[in-house]
Amino acid sequence: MKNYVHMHGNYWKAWMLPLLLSVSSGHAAIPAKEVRSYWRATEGPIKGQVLDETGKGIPGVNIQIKGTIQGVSTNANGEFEISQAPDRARLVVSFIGYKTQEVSVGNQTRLTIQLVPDQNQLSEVVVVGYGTQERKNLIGSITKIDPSDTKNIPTGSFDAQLQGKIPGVQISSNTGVPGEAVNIRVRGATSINADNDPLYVVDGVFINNNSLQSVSTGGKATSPIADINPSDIESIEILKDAEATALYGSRGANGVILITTKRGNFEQKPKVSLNASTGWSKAARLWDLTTGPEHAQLVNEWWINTGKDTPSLNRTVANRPFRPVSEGGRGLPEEQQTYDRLGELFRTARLQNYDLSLAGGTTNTKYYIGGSYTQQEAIIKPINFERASFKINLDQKVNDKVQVGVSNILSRTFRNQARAGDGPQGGLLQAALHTPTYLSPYENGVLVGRAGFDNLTLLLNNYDVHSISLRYIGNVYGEAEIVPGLKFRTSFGLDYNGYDESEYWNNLLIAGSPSGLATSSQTQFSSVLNEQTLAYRKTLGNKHTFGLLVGNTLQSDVLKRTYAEGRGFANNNFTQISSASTTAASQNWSKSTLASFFAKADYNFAGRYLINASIRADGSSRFGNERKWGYFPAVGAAWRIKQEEFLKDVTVLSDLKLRASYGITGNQNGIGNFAAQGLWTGGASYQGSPGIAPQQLGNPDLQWEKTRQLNVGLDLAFFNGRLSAEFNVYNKYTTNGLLQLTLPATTGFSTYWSNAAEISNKGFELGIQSVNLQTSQLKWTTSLNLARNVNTIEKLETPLRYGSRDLILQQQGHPLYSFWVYRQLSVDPQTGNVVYEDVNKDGKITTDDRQILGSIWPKLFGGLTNNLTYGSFDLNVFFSFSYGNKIYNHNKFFGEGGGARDAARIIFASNLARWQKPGDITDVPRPDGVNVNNYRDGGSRWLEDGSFLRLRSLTLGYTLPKTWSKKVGLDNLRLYAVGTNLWLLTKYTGLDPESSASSDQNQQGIDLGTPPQPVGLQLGLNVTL
Amino acid sequence: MKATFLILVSILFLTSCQSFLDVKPKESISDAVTITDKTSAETAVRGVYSALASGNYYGTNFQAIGYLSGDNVEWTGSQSIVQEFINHKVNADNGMISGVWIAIYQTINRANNVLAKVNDVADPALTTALKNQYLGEAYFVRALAYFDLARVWGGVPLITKPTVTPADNRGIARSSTAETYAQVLKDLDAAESLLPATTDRYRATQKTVWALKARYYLYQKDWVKAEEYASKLIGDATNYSLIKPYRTFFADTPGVRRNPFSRFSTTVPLKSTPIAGSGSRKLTVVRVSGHPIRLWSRYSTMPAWVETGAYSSPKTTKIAGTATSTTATLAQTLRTCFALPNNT
Repeated sequence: MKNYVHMHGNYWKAWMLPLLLSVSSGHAAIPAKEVRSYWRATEGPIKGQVLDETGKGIPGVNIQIKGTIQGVSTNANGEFEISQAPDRARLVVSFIGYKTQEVSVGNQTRLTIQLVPDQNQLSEVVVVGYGTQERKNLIGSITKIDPSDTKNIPTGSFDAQLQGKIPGVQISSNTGVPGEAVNIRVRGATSINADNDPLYVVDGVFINNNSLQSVSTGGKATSPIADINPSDIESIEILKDAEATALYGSRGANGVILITTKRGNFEQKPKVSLNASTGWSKAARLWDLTTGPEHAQLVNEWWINTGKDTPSLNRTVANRPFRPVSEGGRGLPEEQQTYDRLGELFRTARLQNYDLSLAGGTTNTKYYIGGSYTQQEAIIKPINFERASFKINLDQKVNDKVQVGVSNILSRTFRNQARAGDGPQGGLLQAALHTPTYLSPYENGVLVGRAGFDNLTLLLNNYDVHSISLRYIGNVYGEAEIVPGLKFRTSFGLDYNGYDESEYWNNLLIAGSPSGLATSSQTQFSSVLNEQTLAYRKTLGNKHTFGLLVGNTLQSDVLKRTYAEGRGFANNNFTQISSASTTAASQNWSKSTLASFFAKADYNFAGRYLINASIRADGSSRFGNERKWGYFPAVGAAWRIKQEEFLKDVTVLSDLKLRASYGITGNQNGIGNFAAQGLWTGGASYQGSPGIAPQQLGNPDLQWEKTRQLNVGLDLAFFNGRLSAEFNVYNKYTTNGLLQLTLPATTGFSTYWSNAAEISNKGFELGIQSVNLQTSQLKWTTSLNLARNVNTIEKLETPLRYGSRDLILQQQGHPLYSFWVYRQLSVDPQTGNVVYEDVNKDGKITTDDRQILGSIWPKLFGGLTNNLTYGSFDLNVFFSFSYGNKIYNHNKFFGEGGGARDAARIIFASNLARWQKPGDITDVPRPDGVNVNNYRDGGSRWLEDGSFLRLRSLTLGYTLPKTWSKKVGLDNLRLYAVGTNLWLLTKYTGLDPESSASSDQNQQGIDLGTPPQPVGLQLGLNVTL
Repeated sequence: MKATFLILVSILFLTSCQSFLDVKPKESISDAVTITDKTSAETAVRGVYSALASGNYYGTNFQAIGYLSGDNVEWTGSQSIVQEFINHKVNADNGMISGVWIAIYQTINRANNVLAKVNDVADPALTTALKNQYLGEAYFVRALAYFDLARVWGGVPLITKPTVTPADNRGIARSSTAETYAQVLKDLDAAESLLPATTDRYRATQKTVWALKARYYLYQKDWVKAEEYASKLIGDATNYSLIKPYRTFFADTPGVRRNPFSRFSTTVPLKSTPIAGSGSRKLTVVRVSGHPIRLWSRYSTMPAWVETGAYSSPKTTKIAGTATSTTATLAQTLRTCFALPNNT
């Protein structure tokens, strides 16, 4: 094995030498004063040996004379020789897994250099629930992410940027609109009616991640996470298994995302950082559409075919729609014009981003101040996302024992919004995918009206929907060391979100007919959190370390909304509700509270055996009186096998750890705050007078949804950590699943909240990291992660249908989000009609013949990152992939209307492959009526493979040599270019295999009216001084 | 240190968890305290009428499932749920049908709550006369609901007690059509005895009961009784007469009393009237002189003349032209039931 390493050492050097030479001219030209001062007066050979911490020679160590390209590597015994070295040379000695050393040669000719192991990776500090831990002592499954690689991906929110970065965490962007909600699933989904999103904790504050949006944007929702500037984040930890999440008890079932924002350091000189970038983005591909003549041809065929099928319709060749104008028709097909509306809607969008921060500290104070502004236009007009944010983190030592501090994030997010999803009124893509042959925006120089969907030009000129989110996330803490090892900490946190939305639909738009509609919605969400912890840590002798933690939290969330609307405006110059002739208003208030107590004990024997146990008790106001409290225990153990005597000498193996954990976590998010209570509403008015009526049935037995999870993990590292891998298998099983159970309608109610579903998630995750090459000039690292999750509904009495046209069915024995379709077997070459599979063999195609054919779950997903630094250049290439997931191309269903939707929709070019005459072999049937067999809702023809491999980002950076940047007074200057989504490999025939029209968790995977994620290019610079 | 512990202890225990976790809504009230005095009884009865007016019942859909089957209605949208009515081939899982079914039983449950609770209210302000009126109105609405159920589904489960817990009213078998009609008559009789013989355009009175009884007996082919009850209204010429022209029945024109559609739902403009569903399943009916009634959904198209002002002088001629269309009968039912006034 040693030889193996050695060979590779030499091999790398030989291989890279030409490259080194070719790019080294910049460095040869560094005869700066300070370097020159080390040069020896007399030149001569230097010999030496490099030893490891045990005194053994290390082969393959790279030794380079600083400031030159001259370098050698050690032989099998760790020895090296440099034939010609300048006087006072400094040697840079580097080897993977050890700290790089600089050695001053002085007048010596023989050197012995002992390298110190770099425990960087193993001793890396990881933020865990209510504390931090060194990686080597972790028992749970936690992934730590440094967001600096991804923070330039223009998505608005940091969670969307993490796609493909975390093993076992599936992130789907849903849309190309920046700042919109993403679908994020940590180890699958556990619930049907409660939330499946993870818990987000920012500097100890449990923040709201449910959109406060109330205006309709076609099923889409904004992301509250986009209020946070990704550049303010220092690290992101994703807690996945029960051991890691158990301290978050009731909130942990869907994983926990811990965000730690940047802070200063004690005794740090003020450091100013500036990051500025500007960029452009556009759609990589658009739909292939029929021209006006092609459209007309298909419509005529449809007309004639339906006439043949149903003679009573009196549709014949003679009265086909596209017949000569002289015969009363719309002109022959070849006379039709083609209006390009996509070109009017899509644009090259501008992006800009500026971050400025100051960090530093004195003996007792450390601070971080940051300000940022970002603007991202969507690739479709008029959508725009802007965020201005401000941050102050401050920590002050009061004395040796007491420290206080604050964290503050204040941001204002402004959005120009539009309906880029489902829906008839104001739907951008529906308006853009309109009939190509008519409705030019102008007729005799005057803008004309709409048909079915809005006229696109009118829509774009008059869209007036925007929202302003004012967000504060802050925390003040005090911590004191009562006796050595015993720390008390108390903190108060606040998450406040004022969300201001307004719409004005003037009378040229469908939604504003006939005389204008204005709405205003003011929503306020505030979450107040108080938390105390008492932690004790003690080492006895040198082998026993134990820790104890107890604590409590109290949280209170209040949501308020005031809504007003006005209709009937004198003209389009009046846009405020006060000018409307009829107005309406409403007000909502809702509150929930949570009280929690938790305790954790851990024990570490000689860094070899680690065990811990924790329990959390949560009381929630949402549940029935006797069912408010839930108890969530977890245990975990790890064995660092590498620390055992028998592995001590296996030097190739640098770490081996086996971990196991089991625990129970809960979920209550997403259910109504008063879900357990029987309620009457006051909104049942009649003839303008108030009325009351039953609203929902109570269920005093409503209780916590609970997920038990077993996790077994193996951590491996080889060659001093040069190659490391983490492997986890898990089994999650959710019981008491919160479900709106169907009641017989004869009771007067249709559902009530109950604990009725069971869902399992099983899977594995693999993360591999390797340093492929490392010399003092060149470093190439690769990290790969892949995961598989198998989701199954284990218990559900009645199947539930979701999505437009019931495309999604939740059914026992199948995964959540399964597509429920009619399987198209073929198109009969004789008749041109679709042949569907007659599942129940009754000779008819009815809903009973729908079947589940796939789901949105991939068989395998993950990401691959390569980092290459060479001298002053850095390159980051990041791919994400998903394999085996399905997507329903609903755009294509509408676009292949076979002529039936002539009046409202364009026809996709794919429809031209229709059957025309006996003998034609095709999968596109002859055009005929709507919703008869051939163009039936839910045909499997539009259910497609959504697998993809995406070059998510490619970043190339160049850091100016220090000597140059120093000259202009800068500490560091880096120029970079980021390309986003530059390449996509997929069989999907829509625009983007990640599109989803709805942000509703039960309606994922239906692609309708959604713009794709754009291809982007940004140019930027980082400056520190 | 001592102080710190004191703070901790106080925060932990002085906050009474029980009251901290006891959060009551402000928009709604607990179903334990609903009909307790005159005001709550009065508002609960309005709640019953409001259910009758809901979108899935008389608001829109209950009528739509009738007239969609007419031969003068065309559906050009892409959703099969509506097309099923046009094709006269309605599947059991049709969402509009279940929506109507649910809405009617919601109405019944509201009426049942009034019937079960009003008698026990001890508030002296709730006089016997008022109690009788409220109970009578609830009986009338329940009668109308079972009458509608019987006409559409035949025999149905007869629920006469309110649902208070998820276990209530479960497992009640379907009654026969005759039993269902018997329930209708029983409720009508109760309503007739409790309600005053006044004229009210918005709420049920004894006269409204007569109107529905006339209709009920028509369905029972009891021509004598049908005539008897119809005659009671026809004879009341000071309050009731036929409106002319017929189309004003559907109009919402100033000077003309609102039609029963708008009485139950919101005010709707003539030229485009949302008639069914909400949100993604909204339908719009457009009635223009010289054209058949057309229905528009989000995926269908309004021709240019609708949007460019060609409808400036609409002349609604009819909403349902054939004897087989249930819309006509429904309209007549409502006209009779709610005793539309003349135009003056």
